[in-house]
Amino acid sequence: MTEASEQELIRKAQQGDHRAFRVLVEAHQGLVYSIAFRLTRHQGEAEDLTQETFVRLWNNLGHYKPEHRLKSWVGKIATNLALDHLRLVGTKHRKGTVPLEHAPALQNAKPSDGGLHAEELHALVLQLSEQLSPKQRMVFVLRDLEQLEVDEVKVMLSMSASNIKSNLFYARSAMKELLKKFYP
Amino acid sequence: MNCRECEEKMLLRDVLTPTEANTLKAHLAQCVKCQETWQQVIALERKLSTARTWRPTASSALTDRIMTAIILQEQAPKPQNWLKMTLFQPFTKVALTGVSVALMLFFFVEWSAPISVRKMQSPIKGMQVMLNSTAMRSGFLAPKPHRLAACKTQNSWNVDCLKEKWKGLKF
Repeated sequence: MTEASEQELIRKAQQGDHRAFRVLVEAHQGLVYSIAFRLTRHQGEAEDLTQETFVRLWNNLGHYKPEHRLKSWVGKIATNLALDHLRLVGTKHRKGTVPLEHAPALQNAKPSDGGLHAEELHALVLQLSEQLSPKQRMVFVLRDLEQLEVDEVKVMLSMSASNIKSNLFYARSAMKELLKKFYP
Repeated sequence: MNCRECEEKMLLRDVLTPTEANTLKAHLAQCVKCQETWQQVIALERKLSTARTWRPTASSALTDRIMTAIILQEQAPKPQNWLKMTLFQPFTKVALTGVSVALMLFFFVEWSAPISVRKMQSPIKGMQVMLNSTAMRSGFLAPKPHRLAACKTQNSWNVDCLKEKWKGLKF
């Protein structure tokens, strides 16, 4: 979708056109769902967060400024919702967690033949990323898994570039050490 | 550059400036310990790269679910702000104005009733008299005891003297 056609769709959606908004949803729901899933590791919760993100987008379309990219704005709503969700359920999840080495995703993760499938490795990385602080995890997911540009991450998380670098360093450093346990 | 700084640069190598990248290269070329760390960083990057190839995908029904939620939200009756609605009704405005004017009149009449009209020489004077009268009734401006001491006889008060003293008090 080109920038111009997206702007046209946004303009129509602002006037209440559901079909135009649906096209926007289809274009961006992949990113939103992916961010939500990588942060919650739960399909149902990720779908709920995705739905809530687009409902909020619809309700606030009147405040959209054309100089901002819709992708960054949607991402910002999604990350804010996910961060709130993580804070809300954080303690609940932590209470129920088993020691890292005995977690189901990691039981199969010890590679005997030297390698894991992408899906298993993805699950392992997500599970290990739960050891990070919420901010480090956000930066890690957006930059290293979603591969978004630093400028986009800056907008989505309302952080300075130096703050992002600092969180990214600690996140990668921790992930390197955690992965060492499974790949000595 | 020390080994700690070097590790930091290695982990952030995708966001380094060209100068920082050159410094990192130079340090790596001569430090064996950092070369080992470099291998670990490369291994981490390779694993993340593999992990990235699996992308979570939403179910095909998610778009329909989102659009349904939006349409249902629009159809649902919007919560109304009853206080705001009531306050902006013309009748309410008139009634509230009437009540506030009546209250002001009530207090004015109540406070100024005992005051002689002759004392109301000017609005300011009238207001002073009214306030002093109220204060007097509540005891705030009662004559000081030493002023009245002269009216005291051995066992009683000289009533005429007291009347004279009260009259002489300036409000």
